[in-house]
Amino acid sequence: MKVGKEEYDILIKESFEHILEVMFSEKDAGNKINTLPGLPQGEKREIAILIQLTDGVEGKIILTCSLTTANKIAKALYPDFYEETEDIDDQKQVFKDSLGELMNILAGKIAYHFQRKFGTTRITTPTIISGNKLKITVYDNNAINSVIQFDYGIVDIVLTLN
Amino acid sequence: MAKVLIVDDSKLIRNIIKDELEKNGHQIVGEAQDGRMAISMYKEKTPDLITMDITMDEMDGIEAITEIFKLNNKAKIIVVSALGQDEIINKAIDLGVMDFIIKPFEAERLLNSVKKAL
Repeated sequence: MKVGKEEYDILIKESFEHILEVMFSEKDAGNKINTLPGLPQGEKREIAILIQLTDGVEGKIILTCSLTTANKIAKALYPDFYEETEDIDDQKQVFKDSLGELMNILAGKIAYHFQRKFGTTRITTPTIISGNKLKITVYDNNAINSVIQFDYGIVDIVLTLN
Repeated sequence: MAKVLIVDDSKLIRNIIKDELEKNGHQIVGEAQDGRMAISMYKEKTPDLITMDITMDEMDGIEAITEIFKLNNKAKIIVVSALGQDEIINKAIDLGVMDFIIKPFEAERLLNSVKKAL
């Protein structure tokens, strides 16, 4: 099953704009989003969030980014918590939770966009892979990706459909 | 003021819903992170209203809604989910939920829905 790169780039950019506008604090509402032609050389991929698509279409959505970017996103989504809590385990839990929810909403928007083409598609709960000095590489000849740059950093969102 | 049970696997979303509802005078009687926990808390807390996510581990929102309506066919449930596809919305509405809010949502959208449901 094929999805055009241009269609995918527009979908990801518009979805991100909407998520930022609604979910992030007011001061971030003017956050500018750009689609990059590819992942800049040397850009780290230390965090990966994976959601599986099932039923209407089978596939995967994988968001990767650096730990720095992921931390900025989590703090922007959960500003009060980070100010109040110093417990590392709690912070890790909230970090995973907020990134997972961001990905859940993004996957919901992707599934909604493709419902006419592929039928009603379910999404799984997110799986988050992270670790110090972890390097994540996505290999799939049929994969398309969209690289988004915004104030918190750069994220790469890969879509593979079976 | 209503007694509300919040069901969502994300603490972030539970906190957003909780903050908005508490600011507007509602009482959060419980928070559940999956459908199974939601059913057990529903029996225990007898809330006036439930906000229910769809995609959750253990038991999803559609199954939980079905089970809660077996316990009380007049239960007031608002779905709050990222899965906004027509078939899923229609399924939830057919089951008897009062509204379907698609994430991400504005606070006003949630408050209007709660007001209408009550």
